[in-house]
Amino acid sequence: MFFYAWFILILPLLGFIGLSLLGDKIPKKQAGYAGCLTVGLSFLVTLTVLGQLLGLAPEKRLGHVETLYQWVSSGSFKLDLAILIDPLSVFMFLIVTGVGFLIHVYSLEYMKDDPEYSRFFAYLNLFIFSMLLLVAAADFFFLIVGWAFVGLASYLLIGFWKEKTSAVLAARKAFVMNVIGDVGMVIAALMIFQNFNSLSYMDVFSAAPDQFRTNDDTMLMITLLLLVGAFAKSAQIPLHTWLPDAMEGPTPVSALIHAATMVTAGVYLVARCHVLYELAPYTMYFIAGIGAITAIFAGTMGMVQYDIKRVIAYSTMSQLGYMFLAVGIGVFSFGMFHLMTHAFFKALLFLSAGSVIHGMNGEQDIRKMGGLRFAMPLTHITFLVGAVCLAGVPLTSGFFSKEAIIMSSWHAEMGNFVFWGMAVLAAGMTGFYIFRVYFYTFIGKSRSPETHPHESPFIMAAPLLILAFLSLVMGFSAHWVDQFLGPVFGATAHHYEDATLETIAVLAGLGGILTAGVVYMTSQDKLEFAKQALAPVYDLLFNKYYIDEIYDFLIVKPVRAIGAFFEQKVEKEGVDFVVDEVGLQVREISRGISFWQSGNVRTYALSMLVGMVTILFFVVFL
Amino acid sequence: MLTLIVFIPLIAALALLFVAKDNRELIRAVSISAAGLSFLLSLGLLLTFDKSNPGMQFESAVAWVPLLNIQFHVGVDGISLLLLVLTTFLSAIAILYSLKQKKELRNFLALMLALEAGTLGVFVALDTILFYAFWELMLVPTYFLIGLWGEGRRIYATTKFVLFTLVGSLLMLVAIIGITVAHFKATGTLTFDIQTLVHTHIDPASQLWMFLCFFLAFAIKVPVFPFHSWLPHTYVACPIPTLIILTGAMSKTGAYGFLRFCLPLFPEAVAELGHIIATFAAIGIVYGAWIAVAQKDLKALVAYSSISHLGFITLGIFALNNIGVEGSVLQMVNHGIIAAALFLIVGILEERTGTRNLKDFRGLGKSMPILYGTFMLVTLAALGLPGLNGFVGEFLILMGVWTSPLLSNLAVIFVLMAGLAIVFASIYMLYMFQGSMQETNPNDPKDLKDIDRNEFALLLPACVLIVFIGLFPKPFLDRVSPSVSSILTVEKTVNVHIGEDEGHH
Amino acid sequence: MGHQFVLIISATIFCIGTAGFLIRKNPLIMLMSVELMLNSVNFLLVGYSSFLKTLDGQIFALIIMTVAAAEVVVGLAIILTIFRTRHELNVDHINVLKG
Repeated sequence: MFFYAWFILILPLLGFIGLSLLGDKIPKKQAGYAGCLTVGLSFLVTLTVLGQLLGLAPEKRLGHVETLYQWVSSGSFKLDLAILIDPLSVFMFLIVTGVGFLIHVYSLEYMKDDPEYSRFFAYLNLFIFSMLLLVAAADFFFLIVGWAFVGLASYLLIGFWKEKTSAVLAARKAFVMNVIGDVGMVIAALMIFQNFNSLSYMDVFSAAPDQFRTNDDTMLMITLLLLVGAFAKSAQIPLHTWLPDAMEGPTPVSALIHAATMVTAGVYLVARCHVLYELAPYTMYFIAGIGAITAIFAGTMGMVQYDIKRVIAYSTMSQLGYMFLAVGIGVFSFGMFHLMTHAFFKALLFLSAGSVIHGMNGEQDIRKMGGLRFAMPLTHITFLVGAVCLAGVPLTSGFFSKEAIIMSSWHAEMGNFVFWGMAVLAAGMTGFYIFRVYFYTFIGKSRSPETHPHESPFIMAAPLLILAFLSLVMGFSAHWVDQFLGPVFGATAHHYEDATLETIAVLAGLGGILTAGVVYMTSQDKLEFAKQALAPVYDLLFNKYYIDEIYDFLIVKPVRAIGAFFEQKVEKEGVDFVVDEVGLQVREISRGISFWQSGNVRTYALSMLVGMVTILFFVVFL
Repeated sequence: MLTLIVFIPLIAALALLFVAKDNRELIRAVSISAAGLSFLLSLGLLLTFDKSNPGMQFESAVAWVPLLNIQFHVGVDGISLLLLVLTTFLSAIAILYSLKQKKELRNFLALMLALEAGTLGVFVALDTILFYAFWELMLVPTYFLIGLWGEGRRIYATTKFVLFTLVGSLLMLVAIIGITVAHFKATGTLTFDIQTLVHTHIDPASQLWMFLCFFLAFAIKVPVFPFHSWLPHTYVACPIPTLIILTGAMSKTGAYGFLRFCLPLFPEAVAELGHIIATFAAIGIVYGAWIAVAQKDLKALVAYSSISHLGFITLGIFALNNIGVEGSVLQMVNHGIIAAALFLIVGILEERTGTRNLKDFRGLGKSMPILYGTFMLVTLAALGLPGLNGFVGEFLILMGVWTSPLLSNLAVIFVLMAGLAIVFASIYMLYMFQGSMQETNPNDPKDLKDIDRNEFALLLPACVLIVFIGLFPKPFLDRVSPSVSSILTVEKTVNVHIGEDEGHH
Repeated sequence: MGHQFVLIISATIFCIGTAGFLIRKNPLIMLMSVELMLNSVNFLLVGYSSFLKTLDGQIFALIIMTVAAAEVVVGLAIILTIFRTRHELNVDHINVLKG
């Protein structure tokens, strides 16, 4: 029925293959258009699927598995290459292809001076395909395949400027961190297969509730191992260190992969496996806890950074924390809703930041910007829209989605005061750090007068405007999203009304903005004084809690040391030594024995004679 | 047909000895056509193979030593078929690659062809003595190939390799005779036929020593930790074309031996020692990977990564269930393709830049975009990226280990160790790829040329297979599956009562 | 008579050959001693062949003679080469293979 949905995946794949094989043969411009076209068509197909799905009764929208071919059949292990069409996957399709398309269009202009233009679009297409595979997979195996492919695409795009050492290192770091997550997921898949004898979502999810008690050990293990993957991909503590470094990639990449789509895969995973997670409430608390901690933790780091992209990267981590908080306390559709609104306004922020960087000729340090609201009025507006959405100013999309989560963190069955408090605190920080960037960048006077910032051309501005529009209005679709996703999660989430809490949360966000304003207005001397007073804290935050250094000390260095130890001691002086020694000892013994080998023929003859006689003697007389 | 496939390279090798040394054209023509013909014929087998039949196909038997009932008996099942095609494929590539060889081209190619014939023979032999003969036939050409055309400490390496392997294979010969004697005692007929012998029940004590003899021979060839110490020396000293056959095909003969001999002949010994062997395999996986992280020499890096990957294969075999063993067989093919491609790339890089040391490489990707793409694909397959072939094998192996009744308690530890190795694999593979191809290096030779059409043609089939097996492993596994089942469920019909009398408890 | 005669003659010749091989230092003489030993065996074979009325022994003797001839050829060649390089022929001095 939805077999044509395969085209959603196949089109970007064709784009990737075509562009990577013929990239240098077709003109630059056409290559870019081709890259956009495949994603655009893919988006159109998604809309068709959406239309058809909406035509069905809500309970019939689930579980449409479309098989391409049987992938493997080995012993009791059978697996089809199949995609699953249901509201959740189509919802993700819409975000991935929709936002993806806008970012492709934006890149047409942003990357136009890059010599490897077509390679960039090939990689972007690969990413879109991988992400679609991830969300479309109908079983855990292809989920892992998609999971690893987005990791690959992210790796390729972070390291796109492959001549830059920092980019190469950042790419490797991201890849290795993600492989750690992949291994966790592979083990989870093994456990799932052992217990359910299948990897298909349909089989697993239908069998799980009957097979396992709540908080069964096995279920806890499976859910926790899946979480390793989810946390690695979504940059949650303690697997988060790659995300800020990932900003080495081109800005559209940061917008698409490291803000709007890929990093939210962890949230999608938890939502997709909600049946399993509901059987493991302990894991859910764990998710919510980590989510809330990451939200605050990332927020604190974001407050002191000066690189415009890094601040937004930390805010992404922080917002992902919100999403995990939401799915952790069991309000899956709110988590998905925040995922959607976040995709819009965070892509908007990144693209606006990209526009700023573009206009400033590659400058990323906000201390060197300022007063850009005159030079780049359009970007100014779009960035401001993104910022207010992120800060959760009432009636913007961020407000609706974040409010729903904060409210549930208190009122939902699994919610409590602590989660709520942390969520509100994080909301306050959000307002602060994003407006800190805003004030630094757009308000006041230019701090580096020698550069002449310019507004970006229309082709870059158009996606910004569309995203700004979506960021502002999509908040009102909350109810629709909840209804649409309801069948997947078994029930629609309950929306809690609590005027007091709502006010507190909004005030927290506004308070953050206000503080940012106050700090910005304060004179430089006083600011320096405050910095001095708070030096230990400031240094701790500015150096990202020294986590990179701690990992380096605890993991990287020992791994290298043990590797060297293995090579030198165990291999050369151990195994190899023993083997060589056996040979040498044999030689030594032979040297002793070779005394008998006098080299004298007549001695040999005599020994032969003696031997013969002895043998004869034995044969004849004994 | 099989006989033809095995003997074409051998005859060509002999024929080359009668060609004048400086007649390079003729030498090339003879060796290419021999390798190519045997590859095409093996492809023909692949197409006409009946995948529903778990037994041997294309069998043919000729009396060889009638007095002892030794036969020239050859045949393939699903497992040996894949390895046979892999060997002819890699040999064709290796021989094409070695055409540029300057020194003693004729002798080099003759030995390469002999090596190919030996390896092919091992995969098709169905008579233990014949198997042994081919097993040794593999060794002799390798000795000269490394000793004469190698580099570095080549004499040391080749001596070590040969002595190591000989220790194992001579013990294997003892066990081969032991089995036949056991069978003779039970039935009164003398036979060296594998298919007959597997049905013999051997008493557990004898099983143990015979198993250990066989195991040692195969474990050294694979190699399984801690019998691996010949490998780094040999690989570093070995000329690249030989290395392709050595790592791609010859290392698989050990794993194939486990499947053809150890599992069906000595089920009780395997059940008793399986978890110990699996432990060594798992240690090897981590150990190889860990050392690979610290390597600077590209050849050594790939060599240690091979130890790690071959550990996977051994681990899967001793999981003793369909998924694990099928995964292992597939992984043998995968590793053959990937390692061969990696060594080809190392060879190409060395040819261009005159070094193999990662410290001296930087930023080659700029001047070699095609190699950049190919290298990346191979790297990703080697580090087990899901969706490419390496992962399919690893996943099946891990799944087999996880669900293996034999390894039940240790399975978790093994899988975690394997997981660690996969993480390491991503580190050292990226280190190798990024270290050589990315960033910039002002010292790079300015006139670096990208790989030409011929070199690309050598790498292309490997790349296609890497993607194809990753996307669609079913046709491969379908051919292996019935044979694996029949190996895992061999019925012991001969001499059962003795085993029961003397069996413990 | 008969059996004993053949045996005694053969044994005597064999002992002479052995003694010659052990005592003499000239490889040429040693080679001749070896021939003597071989011929003693030939004598035995032929003798018994005629006693037992079968041809086996004689055929064997022929084979031994053939082999001995071949052996002498190789042996002489070696001795010649050794003499050419060393200009002397004392087996006690030819001990390069000393371990």
